[in-house]
Amino acid sequence: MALLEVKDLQVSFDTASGPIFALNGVSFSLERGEVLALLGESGSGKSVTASAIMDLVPNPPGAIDRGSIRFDGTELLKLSRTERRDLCGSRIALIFQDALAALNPVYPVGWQIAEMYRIHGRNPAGGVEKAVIDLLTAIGIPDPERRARQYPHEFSGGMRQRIMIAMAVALEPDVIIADEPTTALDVTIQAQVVDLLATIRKRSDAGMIFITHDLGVVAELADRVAVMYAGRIVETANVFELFEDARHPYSVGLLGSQPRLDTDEDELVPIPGSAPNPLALPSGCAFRTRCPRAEGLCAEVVPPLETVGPGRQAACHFPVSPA
Amino acid sequence: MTDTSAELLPTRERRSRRILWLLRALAGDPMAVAAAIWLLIVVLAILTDSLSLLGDNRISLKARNLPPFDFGQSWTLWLGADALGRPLLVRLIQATSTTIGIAVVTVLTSLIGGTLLGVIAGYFGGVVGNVIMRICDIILGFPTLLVALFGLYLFGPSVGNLVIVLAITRMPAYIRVARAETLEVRERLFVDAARVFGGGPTWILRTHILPSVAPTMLTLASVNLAMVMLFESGLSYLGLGIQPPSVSWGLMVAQGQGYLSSAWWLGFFPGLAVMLTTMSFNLLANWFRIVNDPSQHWRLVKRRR
Repeated sequence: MALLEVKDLQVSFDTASGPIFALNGVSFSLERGEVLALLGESGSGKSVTASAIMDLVPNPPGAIDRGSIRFDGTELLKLSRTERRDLCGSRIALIFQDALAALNPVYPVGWQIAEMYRIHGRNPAGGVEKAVIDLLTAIGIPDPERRARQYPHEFSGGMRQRIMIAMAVALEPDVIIADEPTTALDVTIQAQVVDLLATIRKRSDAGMIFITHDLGVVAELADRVAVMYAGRIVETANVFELFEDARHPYSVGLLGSQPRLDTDEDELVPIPGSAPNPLALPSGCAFRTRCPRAEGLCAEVVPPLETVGPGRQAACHFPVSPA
Repeated sequence: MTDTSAELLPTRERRSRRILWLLRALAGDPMAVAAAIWLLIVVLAILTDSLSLLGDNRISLKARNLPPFDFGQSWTLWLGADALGRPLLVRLIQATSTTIGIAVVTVLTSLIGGTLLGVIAGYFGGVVGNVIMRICDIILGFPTLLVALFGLYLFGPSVGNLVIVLAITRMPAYIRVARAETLEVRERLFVDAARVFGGGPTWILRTHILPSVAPTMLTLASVNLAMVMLFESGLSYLGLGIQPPSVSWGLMVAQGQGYLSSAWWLGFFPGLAVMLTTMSFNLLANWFRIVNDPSQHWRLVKRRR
């Protein structure tokens, strides 16, 4: 049984001009010890997926219309507020993109890591203070005793993201969701933070959902990739398979619009057009207006996510044939 | 790097270090030191009065409207005497406890009550929030003086009733400010983060919202202190506040009003006391705000080079 299983999840937001369907039946699963990358453009529904799992969808205007989120055998959407809250932080943790805003400016960072233990009433062996110092050492903060007493504004961006990571892994959760944790960082720091995430995840053998639009980070960190477009998952594949031969035209376009060093291509091929207006999604396949392979059928029937090979699925009527 | 004694966890051993650090921070702001000294004088005045250390406060017709700064007289007469020949300095000291007592209790009541209600209204919203805000609107819909007069007329003028009436009429301002601040803080990412990490509403309100709202509320309270003192004098002037022979600074100002052209000191010194006290509270509130802002408090505890 999968550790985390999302099935047919639909999330909508009420707006003045009608409901927006941010998620249109998203399904994926995450095994223990696996890193799943959610890849997609802005507005494709990556972050809403994370919000839905963490019970952060603002209601109103947002609502989870249908679907299920099963975690370790329990249906999260059927749990009470308090029961879900107990899981949040202790068994499922979220790493925010903007660490400066996610840390409270009036408390020292050590206090905020200790907050995790206090919220959940945990008493780690050797005391909370020791646990905090150990964590800070583990995430590579020099002079942890002194740094623990400093405030978020006294840290650099990369350090703050490390502290965010320390908070998320403090209680050794089973699932870590990282919502674009490296987007706001320098490239050099990005690599360090990605390394740190990889090592710290291995420590507790947690499953991780890594939300990003950065193909480089995906290649480095992920085991499996789910490509999202307009609130749907359009392709899931092993990371190597996706980079080698993507089946969905959107995945192909995404890979083609990124410079690569390992091929002889001289030109970048952008995807024409722009992401569809969520208020008026095209009928049938949402990608058909930008798709070079679209035919009449695409406007009529929404392509279901179908198995196209061992362990990989694509939602396309006319998938790109294997290379 | 600043070295602060900010705690990792609140533990008892660190409390003495915290107090020491606060004293150092106070020394970093001369205005706050002056304010603290004045408030210390005020506290001493209350103490001397409550321990009956003052000489008697007899009516003496010889000293009627005696002008101040006549240092040949006994010290009690250095600030002059009132129309009945009572020494002004003694009256001023006797008025301190009533004035400060009423003002501080009133402001604290409306501060605590208003902040709690406002934070609840702002964080939870919904029906509860609406009920709280509509009650505020009703109270604000009437002129404050009218509500106060009506209340004191109904329940009779006494110190207790005065405090209740003043606290209730001032509370809507606190509720509205606290609610507005909460609405803003509630949307900050660190509140979402606390929620994601499993914090319940009580935890979030206590550790994340209240500390962010507190500095604004304290500043508002320090400004309100003066208003309450003057408002109390207005009510006393109308005969519904402090009843003679009890006395308050506000009442003294009001009583001195008739003598402004002939004996200015009757109104001037109590007025000065009101002004200095308010200003001190203002300065200390400002100091407190800086102390509690981690990105600012290096201003107060700079290392000597």
